[in-house]
Amino acid sequence: MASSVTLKGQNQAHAPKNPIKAYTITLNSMASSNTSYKQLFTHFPEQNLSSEIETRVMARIERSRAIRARFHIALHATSILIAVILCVPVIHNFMTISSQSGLASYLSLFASDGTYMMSSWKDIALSIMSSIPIFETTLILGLILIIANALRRGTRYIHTLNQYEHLRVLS
Amino acid sequence: MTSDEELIKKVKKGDDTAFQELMSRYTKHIFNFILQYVKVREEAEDVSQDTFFKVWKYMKRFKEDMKFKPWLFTIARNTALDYIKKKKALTFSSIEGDEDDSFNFADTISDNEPLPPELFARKELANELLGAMTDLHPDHRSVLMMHYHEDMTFEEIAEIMKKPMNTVKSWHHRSLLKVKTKLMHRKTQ
Repeated sequence: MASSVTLKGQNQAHAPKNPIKAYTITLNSMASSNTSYKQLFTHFPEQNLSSEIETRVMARIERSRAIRARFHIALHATSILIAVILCVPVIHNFMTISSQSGLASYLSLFASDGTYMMSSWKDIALSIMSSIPIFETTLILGLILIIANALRRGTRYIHTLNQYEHLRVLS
Repeated sequence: MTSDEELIKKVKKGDDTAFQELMSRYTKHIFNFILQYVKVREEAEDVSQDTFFKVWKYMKRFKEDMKFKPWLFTIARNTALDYIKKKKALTFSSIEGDEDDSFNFADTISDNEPLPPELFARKELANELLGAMTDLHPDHRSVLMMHYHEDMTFEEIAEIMKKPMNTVKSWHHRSLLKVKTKLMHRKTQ
């Protein structure tokens, strides 16, 4: 059974018989409708906001940076304090072990007769190396690294905090 | 003019001037977008401020293959919804849950009729348009704003709204019909 579809209100006599032409008309109509709505929304009343908003956002960013800087300064100060406290027993341990292993004797010989040590370093280098307490030395170097790194980073955050305080005083 | 992407690269390196430039480009757009959700002007200003602060805070998460404008509008929408949720002035369900997202066949039929030219001659058109949009759901208003005012594609809007593109198209279609009906009804009055 054949069926025909007629659009409501459409005059069949004026309907284009060519489907490509009909499609083009539909597309043109859609584009025209879209332009029409775009034109309508150009009339949408835009509200202006206070110019201070950007200043307020920047101030908030600076505040956030200052809070972060304070946190990091406290963190690095704590790590320096802990490292310094740890240094005391580690250095004490290093001294005890070096006196037992003979490293202290080599060091005192180096202090009293450095030229002899320099001339015969090939013969005594191996025994000096074996007398070094590796674990304690590594610990001391590690602690020094922690302190140096915390000082470097902490100084940077102190600089950020100073900048913020300076800006705050100016404003 | 420096592109958004170039400015973002500078912001990531800690350039505050570049961030200020980005803000001045979008502050007005974001404020008007947030006004579709938060009606009180002062509150919309606060939400705009929060939005830009979040943009700065999460800038490192912004990847090079992303588009800045949809990302910015997503943050703005989420911030506005969070604000409404916290304030509880509006029940959250009216924003998120009560929407009928079902895809209707009627929504696929385009409204191909352009608006009548005499409509544009009306002096109070701006206020009438604002009035016609008042009763729409905030998300639906935003869809119209983003599509016609911000020139965003349905794909971008769907990404911002976190909804399928057909849903967004459906919202767009329904909202247009409502706005058109209201404007035409006022015309006959």
